[in-house]
Amino acid sequence: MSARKSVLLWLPRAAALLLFAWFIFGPLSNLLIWSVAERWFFPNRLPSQWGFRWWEYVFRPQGQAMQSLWLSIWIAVLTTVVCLVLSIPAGLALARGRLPWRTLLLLLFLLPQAFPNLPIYISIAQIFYTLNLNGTVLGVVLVHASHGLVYSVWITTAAFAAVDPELENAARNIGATPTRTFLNISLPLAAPGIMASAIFVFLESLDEFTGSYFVGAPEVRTLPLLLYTAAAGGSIQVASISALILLVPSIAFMFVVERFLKADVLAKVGR
Amino acid sequence: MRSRATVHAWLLLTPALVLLAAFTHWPAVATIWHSLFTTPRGNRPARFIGLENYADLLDDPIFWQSLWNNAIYAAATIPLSIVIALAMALWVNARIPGRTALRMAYFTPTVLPMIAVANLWLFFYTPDYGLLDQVLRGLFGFGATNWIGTPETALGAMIVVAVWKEAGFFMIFYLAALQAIPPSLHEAAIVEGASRARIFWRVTLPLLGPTTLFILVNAVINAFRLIDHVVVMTRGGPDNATSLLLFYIYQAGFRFWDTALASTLTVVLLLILAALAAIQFLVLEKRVHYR
Repeated sequence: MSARKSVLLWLPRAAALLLFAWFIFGPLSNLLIWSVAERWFFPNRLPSQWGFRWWEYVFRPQGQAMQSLWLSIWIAVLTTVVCLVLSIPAGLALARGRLPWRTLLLLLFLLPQAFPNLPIYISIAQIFYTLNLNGTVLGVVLVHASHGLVYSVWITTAAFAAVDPELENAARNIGATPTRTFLNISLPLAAPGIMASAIFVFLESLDEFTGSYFVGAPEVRTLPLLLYTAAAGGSIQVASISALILLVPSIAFMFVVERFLKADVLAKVGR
Repeated sequence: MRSRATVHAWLLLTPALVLLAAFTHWPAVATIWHSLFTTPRGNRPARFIGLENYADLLDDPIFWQSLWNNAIYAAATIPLSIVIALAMALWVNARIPGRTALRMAYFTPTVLPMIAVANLWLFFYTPDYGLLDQVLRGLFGFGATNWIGTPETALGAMIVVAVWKEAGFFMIFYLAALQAIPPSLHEAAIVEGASRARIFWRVTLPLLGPTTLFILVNAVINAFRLIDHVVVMTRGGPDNATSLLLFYIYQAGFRFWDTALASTLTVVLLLILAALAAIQFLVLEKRVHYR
């Protein structure tokens, strides 16, 4: 292949790659610039004064952002625990149990995914109002958990279905009790999928905005709620920095997901 | 023995089912029920009026505008996000240097919280300051454009945000499916002398059928379900140019406290989704080859 021909072949590809990269990273870099802009007036192309003053403002110990961050993490941990405790048995039953109408039950667990969340939050807010659960951490956890359950039940079901039943039968044949078989064979083999579902639930809870807004606000102020009020209040720097803080766990967990979510589990989703 | 196993299975399943029923299925049914009543206000309790709410909806210009906006939004986001996802998956599946980093990069928008996505695009679109305007001015000499404040461009701007957010998520599923295709099929096609384009159309694409169906279902649902960015960026404006159906529900329910209108809109949205789901499963299911 001549040099000119290879340039003709590679130039459009490089241009497309560059366009893609800009499309993906352009908006992200804009956020980064805003977070270190102390002064930025029109018609300057870039901020006239750079600095970390707003970072100090956000991270000062008495600041609301740190409180919101810890509260968000705490709610996400509780939500993940609730979802796992409920979905591991449910996933096992759906993957292995001899349930009549198994497909219908799986569909029941998928249905909320198709139903618009917003009207549900309106109704839940009304129900919680009578139960005095509005503005409490428990209320927000329950809303996040009922939302996360859709993911966790489906992924754990797929994870248990991917475990070879022959291995379980072999363990039973050499005298292991059902509990022992579950703890020593099924659970460890399904662990990567369960881990992946836990990560999904954790991230969904951390990022959830609409439900927290309707059930939690203004008493329970999670980081997404703080971000919303900061942006609405015109405090662009606080909004960008909170957004950046929210990215950190997402990106960290992305690397974990890459490791845990294997193709064979993904391929079993929905089967 | 069989019945005992069934009882065990039910016992394992019940806690999850109860939580889901209490906080999702029951409120959903309640919403449908409320659409047959008037909105309760102060001293006036809700009154049963049958289908009158639905009749009112037919005369509501904002409803029709939202429906039309949503149709455009769906018609653009669904094919765009699927095609881009497939292109990206094919690209990062090939043996190119730095493909793990590339894969991560494409996946980044997906893991970002929608609220953060909305904010960073808000800055990106800002007239004059925003990176988009700066680059367009630098390269082509464009003037300042208020992308989300002009009725002609606002909906398009929302579509771009949605595609940016979704494509990476769909790419992951395509990637998993591509890696599950046995290489022997490609080798056989090459031995038979098939061109690369032909291999793609006749071997790869049909084998991706089930994945495409799964992604299509998700894309359709998302086209009617994702509105966080509308709430943050435009609030349905300017002049209802970006009011999607679900956003109108949000407005009716939480801005105007009109539960009757919100419930009625929800039922209409559900009917649309159900009709689309029926079409997908009745028409497309038959054409998809499962192995």
